[in-house]
Amino acid sequence: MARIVKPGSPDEGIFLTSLDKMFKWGRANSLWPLQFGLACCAIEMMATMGPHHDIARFGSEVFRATPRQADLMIVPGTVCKKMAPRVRKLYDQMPEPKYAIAMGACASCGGPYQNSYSVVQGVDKVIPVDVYVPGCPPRPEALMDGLIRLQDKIMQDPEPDIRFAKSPTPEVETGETEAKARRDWEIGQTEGGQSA
Amino acid sequence: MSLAEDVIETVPEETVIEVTKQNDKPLIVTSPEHILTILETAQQSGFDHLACLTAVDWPKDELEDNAAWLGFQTEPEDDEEDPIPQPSRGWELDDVNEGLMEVVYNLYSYDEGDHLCVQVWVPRELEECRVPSATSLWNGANWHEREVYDLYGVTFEGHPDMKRMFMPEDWEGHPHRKDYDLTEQQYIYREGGVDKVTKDAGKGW
Repeated sequence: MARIVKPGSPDEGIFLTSLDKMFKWGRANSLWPLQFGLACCAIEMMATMGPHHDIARFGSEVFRATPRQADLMIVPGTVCKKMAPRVRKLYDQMPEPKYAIAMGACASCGGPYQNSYSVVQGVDKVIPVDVYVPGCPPRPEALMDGLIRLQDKIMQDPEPDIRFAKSPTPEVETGETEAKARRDWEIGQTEGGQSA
Repeated sequence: MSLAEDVIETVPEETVIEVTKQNDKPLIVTSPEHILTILETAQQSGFDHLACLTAVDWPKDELEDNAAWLGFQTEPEDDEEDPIPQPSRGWELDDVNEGLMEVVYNLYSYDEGDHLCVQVWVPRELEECRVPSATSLWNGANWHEREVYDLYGVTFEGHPDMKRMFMPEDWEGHPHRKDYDLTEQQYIYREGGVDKVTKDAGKGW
């Protein structure tokens, strides 16, 4: 992501990157999860927080007890139909940019509660999910792997930060405005990269 | 003498249908008319804790499949004869229409560490599925009975607040009944601070 100046040169100690990439780097390495649990997966999530596995190594140790201060929602456990509106409300209360990890089989697809009267068949019916962590429940290593994958996803996100985005692309009459804007932006990126 | 034996000896004979053992613990089977007498005697004898109040749903076909195990018939000596029907739990298998609902009271004594199980078998049809409430004896029975009402549809007569415990109030059916229809899912959404039920998958979760 960066160009490091050769030792001995007059520019030594200077680190060059784009503001956009620096923001992504900062964002990926200080994901603050929302502190809440729904079932036994939450116990594994707590073990991940503990000193043995220590999620602080990845910058995510600050579990916030309010959605206003969180930018990652780990959904640890079975989402029952009564809980779903509350999960949605908590997610809506989180500030952008926000991410979600579906932890365990229940949150991913309903798990053992297939065709249940009371369980939502996957939290992706309620909120958009970035990473699915399989397991019943997943071990802390699996959750940390999910977190690292989410960090990779954030770093490789082709969308620029909304603050650094170019002004909207020229008027396109078809319904593909968003796709075209994204394509144009990507072309601009590669061209810029080649010319540099 | 254990507390449970004490209860079994104290209660009037006509209130008891059957006395057996279940998991090495004493079990009294009684009728809805006499359940409060038995429970009151048990409470006065020292069973100060209603540990659990729950139910088991027995549709007719499952009763027939488990008839021998439940004591509704005995194996004949000659292999070619049909099983001999016999009454059990206060019921003849032929008198059962839709099935039976088994309401179970698990009692515990803190002082003696003694267990006692009391059962009532009632018809599982919703109108007839009625048992007197034990809230007058143990306040803890309140939520247990509401839960059993919610999930099994057993109405407890004399309960101060007989409404659903977990599911929203306009939920259709009682989910733990064996004939509960899972093909038509119900979904929950919030409106005005209250959980509402819909059958439209796009409206709720």
